[in-house]
Amino acid sequence: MKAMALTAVGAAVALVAGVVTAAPAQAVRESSAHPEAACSAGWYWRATGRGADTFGRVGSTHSDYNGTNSNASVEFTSSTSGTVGSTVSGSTEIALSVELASIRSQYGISVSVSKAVTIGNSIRITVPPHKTGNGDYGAWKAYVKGYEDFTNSRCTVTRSQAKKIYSPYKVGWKTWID
Amino acid sequence: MDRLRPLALVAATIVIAAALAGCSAPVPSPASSSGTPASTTSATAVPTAVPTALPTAAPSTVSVSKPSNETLLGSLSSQRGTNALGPFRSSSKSIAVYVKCVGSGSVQVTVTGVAQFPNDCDAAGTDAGIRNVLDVRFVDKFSVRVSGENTLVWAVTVTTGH
Repeated sequence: MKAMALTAVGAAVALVAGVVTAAPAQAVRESSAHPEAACSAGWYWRATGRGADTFGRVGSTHSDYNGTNSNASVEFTSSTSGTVGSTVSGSTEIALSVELASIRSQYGISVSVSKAVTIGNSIRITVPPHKTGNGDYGAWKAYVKGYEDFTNSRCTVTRSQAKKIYSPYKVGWKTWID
Repeated sequence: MDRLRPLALVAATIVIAAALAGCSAPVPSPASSSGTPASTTSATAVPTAVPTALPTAAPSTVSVSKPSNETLLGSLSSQRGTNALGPFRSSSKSIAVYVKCVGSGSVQVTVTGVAQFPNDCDAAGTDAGIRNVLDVRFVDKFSVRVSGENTLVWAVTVTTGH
């Protein structure tokens, strides 16, 4: 009886162990998992920080001069559709889609390889006297910098190559007064 | 007693197994993965209106996050009807207004003395929302008001931009 009970315990523990143990990485070259978790040889993405957003304009800049002595309200409406894509510089050992998935998780932003910008989006801004109101419509790009590391089977990073990624995550207006 | 002891061991094992399994696969919640503060306002942000009471058939939570490199002025999540943030003093050259809306229709956003713009809502709730950057150098202070039908659920976040 005791032996049977212990067998049952052993089976249950084995079942639990199966749940706890992480499966080895399958797509090593495209894996963004931390290398220490798998120690499978391959390239791994490592983000080191996020810089200031950049803006991808679609269409021309809207401008309106207020020649009066009081505030004026002007409306801009996007009239050009298009697509704002990602740009990268530096290492390209890992697929961009894999790195974007990692960035989405790490920074909580909806970056994508490209983002569609549509027409008919409007904004009304207040322009002070004798100033010009300006507006660009497009997509904001998150700037994330990091490294692509090659990790060998002994969990040692043998190569490290810098990379900069600019990927769109939100559409919108960039307005300013001058 | 001998008959009961193995059963007790198995029961204890199942309890342990369940506890371990619970610890083994943490599933991040949407809120925690986005890093979004829920209805947070900065020290200078004072909501100026009480949101309309939610109907019983409330949809999903709606929140909008800000980039970690921007300074938060104020944020409201899962709102209906009209609500506002501010007033804020114009301490930066520009601000970024993030808006996200779920439902059929659009909300109207007013940054007093600076700008007005609509945001079309997304019935599926999958749209990332918008980010509008506004020049606030020519006003001393401003508030951000969002209004929409009670059938719409919206969120707004205001930062100093960059």
